[in-house]
Amino acid sequence: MLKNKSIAFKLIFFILLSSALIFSVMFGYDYWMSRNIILKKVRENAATLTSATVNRIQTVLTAAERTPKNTASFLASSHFSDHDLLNLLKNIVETTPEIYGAAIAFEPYLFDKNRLHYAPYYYKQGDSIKFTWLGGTDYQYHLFDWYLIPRVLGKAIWSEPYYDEGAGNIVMTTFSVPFYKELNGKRTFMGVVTADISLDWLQKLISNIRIYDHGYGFLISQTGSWITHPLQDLMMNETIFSTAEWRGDDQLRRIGRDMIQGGSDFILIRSLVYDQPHWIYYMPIPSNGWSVGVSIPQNELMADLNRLLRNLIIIAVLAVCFLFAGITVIAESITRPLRALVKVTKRVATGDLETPIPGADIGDEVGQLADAFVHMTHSLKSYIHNLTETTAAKERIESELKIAHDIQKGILPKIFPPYPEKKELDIYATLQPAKEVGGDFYDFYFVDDRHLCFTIGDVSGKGVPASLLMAVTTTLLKAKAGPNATPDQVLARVNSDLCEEQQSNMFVTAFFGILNIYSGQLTYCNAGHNLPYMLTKENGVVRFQKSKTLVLGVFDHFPYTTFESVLQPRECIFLYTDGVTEAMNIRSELFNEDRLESLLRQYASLPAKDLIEKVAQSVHVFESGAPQADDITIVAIRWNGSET
Amino acid sequence: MHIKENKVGTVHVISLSGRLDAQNAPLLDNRTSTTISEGTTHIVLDMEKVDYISSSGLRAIVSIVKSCREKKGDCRIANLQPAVYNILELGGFENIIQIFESTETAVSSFRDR
Repeated sequence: MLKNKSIAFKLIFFILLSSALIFSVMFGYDYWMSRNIILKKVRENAATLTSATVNRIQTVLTAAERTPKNTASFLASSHFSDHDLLNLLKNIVETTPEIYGAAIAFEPYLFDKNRLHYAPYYYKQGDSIKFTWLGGTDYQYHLFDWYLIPRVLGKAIWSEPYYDEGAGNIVMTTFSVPFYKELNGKRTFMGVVTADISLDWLQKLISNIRIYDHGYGFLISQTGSWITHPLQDLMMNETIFSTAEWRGDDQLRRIGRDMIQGGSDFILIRSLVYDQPHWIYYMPIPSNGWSVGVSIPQNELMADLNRLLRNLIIIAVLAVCFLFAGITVIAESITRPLRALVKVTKRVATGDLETPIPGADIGDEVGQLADAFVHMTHSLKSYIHNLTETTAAKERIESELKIAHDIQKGILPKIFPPYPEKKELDIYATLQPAKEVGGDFYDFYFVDDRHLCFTIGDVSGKGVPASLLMAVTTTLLKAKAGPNATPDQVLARVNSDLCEEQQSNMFVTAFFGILNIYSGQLTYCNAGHNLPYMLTKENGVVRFQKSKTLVLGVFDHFPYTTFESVLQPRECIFLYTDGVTEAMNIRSELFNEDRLESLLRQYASLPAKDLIEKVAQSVHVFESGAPQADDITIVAIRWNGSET
Repeated sequence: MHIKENKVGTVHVISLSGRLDAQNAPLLDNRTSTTISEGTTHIVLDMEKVDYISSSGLRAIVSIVKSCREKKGDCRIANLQPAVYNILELGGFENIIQIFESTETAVSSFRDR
């Protein structure tokens, strides 16, 4: 993905990526730890607040419990008239601020044998104390919870909160204490002393709980009824379970269950009031099993932390921006000389070695690279300079040698017909040099008015040494030939001289012949050369006789042999070098003797020039596409007979 | 070009394979001139696996033959392929260099002196 991006891009990408990762991990950890610390603190605070509230309620409740309990004990142990009873009751209501109203309700006909209901009740209304008798046909108190439950259970109880619709339209709860007396030696239930507590103060106390901006308190009874809650509709109308039911809120149901069972916890729920996550802490009131809770909005808890995190992120973003700018500057400063170097190197690559290379004086790695480039261009310059000089020298030598070679070949006869006045002869020769300087040669000359010497040869190897040896050989051959010298003598002498003069083991193949142009008598000798052909009328194309032979120039004192033959008029001697038979086509096949012989048979009667051109053309066609490997030399001598 | 040397008694058998041309001839030249300078004078060139010989190759062989003969020894050739033999024969080399059908006969020819 990043392979083709610039160094600057890679640097920026990786450094910024890793910085962002480091920042994220640091801030994430910090946020998590801070959150836990805050939650711990909040839990402690909520617990303290709730516990203080519970204590305050408990204090009031305990105070409210004491008076009815004392009264119950008094009633159990004393004799009293109805006047005493009413005074006692009035006194309780007057002197106990927590108590809203108090009653002493007796069992039927127990206090007054004539009265089914005997229950005096004093209560506060405004600043005055009112009195009434409880009981009647429409209010048979013996059947009510506040009377029946303590009677059955035999212990004091707090009632569920309820609306008192009679006197003040206020929410109340009643503490009922049963009392007993020894009658006929038997402990007998006498009745119930009650004290009513207004929950007005309790509701005020709870609704005054303020924690953060939108935190609030709530209170539920031992059956789960909402006693106080910021939502007025819930109060005294619903229980925590019915609310959980219509909200479909299982968590609330579980919490409700835990609350009425006296549990205590700190837990995250969705607030009923604000529909946001709130942490709630709840705790039971010991004396009546009610439960006080406080609800704290999470976002307010975490507000400071979130603000801190936001600021940190802003700082981190700024830091990353700053880092980006810094890396960009550094990367730019690193890659600028590199880019300049690339630009210059491209120019150097196109051959402009004079381009000044920047940055070589800087000490860093880029500078070292530039310095290395400077050295490279210097070396290249001197190398090219040397190469140019060497090439020039080589070309000069080669061209001079080529000239020398051409001069040598120039010595060979090349004006045809060479002896226009000699009608007996039809001579033609060609030498087509290969690209490399080779060592083929041919020659012919008269040693007297009737004897024509002719020779063809090939110096082993190519190049300058071959060319030089060829020049020496042709000169020697001409020098050693004479009117009385036989071909074997000529070749033996040339061989001796070559063996003496050169130690390089280069050798020369040569065929040497002498033709008497009046008689057609032919003498010849071969020194390791391809045997020529004789184009005859009677026998067609025939090879010259094979003999014991050896190339010239390597072993002295070899006994060469001269052969004799007589030409018939119109017969033709065809001499060639191995450039003809070893010509190669693109499939690496050789031209070979078979092809040559078949050509010779086909064109045997043509004049020497036409014959040679046909053969040379065939060889060229054969090797078309492949480079000419060797000199191609052909000589044809036709004897027309002496009559003409 | 592959050159393998092997000593049979006093005779040094040099087995060649590949093309003995202008490119490879100097290799043979170097190897044999070292061998000869170390005192070897009896050499058999086993040419069984040589399928081509150029004038440079011939020169190298001539050079070995001459060097051996200068030290009263000789270099003899064995196992020539027909095409290679034709080239040697064309130049007349078979007239001054001893050529044998097999390496064994070439080696034993030295013992028969």
